[in-house]
Amino acid sequence: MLLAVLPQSLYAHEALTAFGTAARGGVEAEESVFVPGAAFPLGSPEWVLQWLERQGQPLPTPWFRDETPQTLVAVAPFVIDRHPVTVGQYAAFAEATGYRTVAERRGWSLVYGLDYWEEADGASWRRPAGVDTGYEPPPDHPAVHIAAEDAEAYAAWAGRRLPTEAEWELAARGPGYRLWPWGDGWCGERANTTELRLGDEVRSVAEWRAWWREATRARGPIPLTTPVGLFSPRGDSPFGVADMAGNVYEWTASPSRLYGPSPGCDASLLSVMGRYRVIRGGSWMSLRFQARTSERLHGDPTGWACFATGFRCAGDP
Amino acid sequence: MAHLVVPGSWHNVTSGRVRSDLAAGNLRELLDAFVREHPDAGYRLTSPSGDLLRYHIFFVDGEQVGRTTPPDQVPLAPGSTVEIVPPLSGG
Repeated sequence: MLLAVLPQSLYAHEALTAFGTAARGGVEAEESVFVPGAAFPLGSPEWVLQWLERQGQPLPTPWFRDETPQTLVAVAPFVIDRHPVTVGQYAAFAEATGYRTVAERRGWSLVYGLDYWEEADGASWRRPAGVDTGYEPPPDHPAVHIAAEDAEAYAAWAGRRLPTEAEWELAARGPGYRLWPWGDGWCGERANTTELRLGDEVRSVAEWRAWWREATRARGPIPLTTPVGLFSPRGDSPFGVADMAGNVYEWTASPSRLYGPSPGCDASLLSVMGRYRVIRGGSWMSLRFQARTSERLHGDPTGWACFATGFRCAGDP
Repeated sequence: MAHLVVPGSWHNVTSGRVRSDLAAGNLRELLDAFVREHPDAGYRLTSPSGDLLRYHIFFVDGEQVGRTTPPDQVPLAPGSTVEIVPPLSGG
């Protein structure tokens, strides 16, 4: 049983830098973490791209070129949620306000089907696999099928905001560079990524698809999220922030842009700059190479969501 | 001829090619021509019932095509560049 080997310290650790809990928007908010301001180089140093080349990981290196060149940024002190916003928290928001997400209003959202992304009728944070499976997510799992405007609506209600990508990265690794929140050594038992289920060997995209096809045939496209904080404290960042690698993709407040001239950056990435919004952290669908602290994805902010997109909030101290 | 740029992530169903020059007078004709050239890519553009998937974004010469605009009503000029952008891009 896979979960038997997972950390048993659910919510057990005491935060060293906890900002404390507070009632926000009528909900006892999860702990927030105070992050001191810092000037630091945002993005990946060049050696990371060279390292990725040597790993035999399945994705072309030009897809990671948007992480370079590093750019010096100054971030003011801020607070950030220790965990992504959960189903239980989002339910409280929806109940208090009557808010309906883009997916709920539209009547469908995206799940990965047998071969590719599919529009699943009725899929939303309430029914992440669509209406056909009957699956209802546990309240301590992160909310998914969250579009950018859904995340912002929650944050506004809670008196918070989305983190910028610089805040997100600083919270994930601190001002000094590290590949994953806990350090440079990969450990598959510290994050909810594909490796949690398939092991640490590098897998091809085709192999991932074959595995997912089998899983989907057996039980439907149920997202493999885990309870927030499941991997704490061993998977936490230097500031004690949890789930910064894997579990759900997280929206940020930052529009997609290049950090600077990036020769060799994939053309399809260049085409979204100035149009999309930065997403961080990878998800349960990702390989470890896509769940690094400086890894960037770019999402359509005009209503796109899928069964692996969530968010967390930040705020000013 | 119109110039089509598909997402880099489609390389495994386009024999590694993400750029194509295809004869087409409108967006629908271009997408049909692309699928004829790369049949394995068809499921990334249309549903099993043949409808264009609703979540991709199309740009014609840098201008975003309206989500509700039928592709056969999007004219292409000779030399037009069409980009297909998936809702999630990156590594």
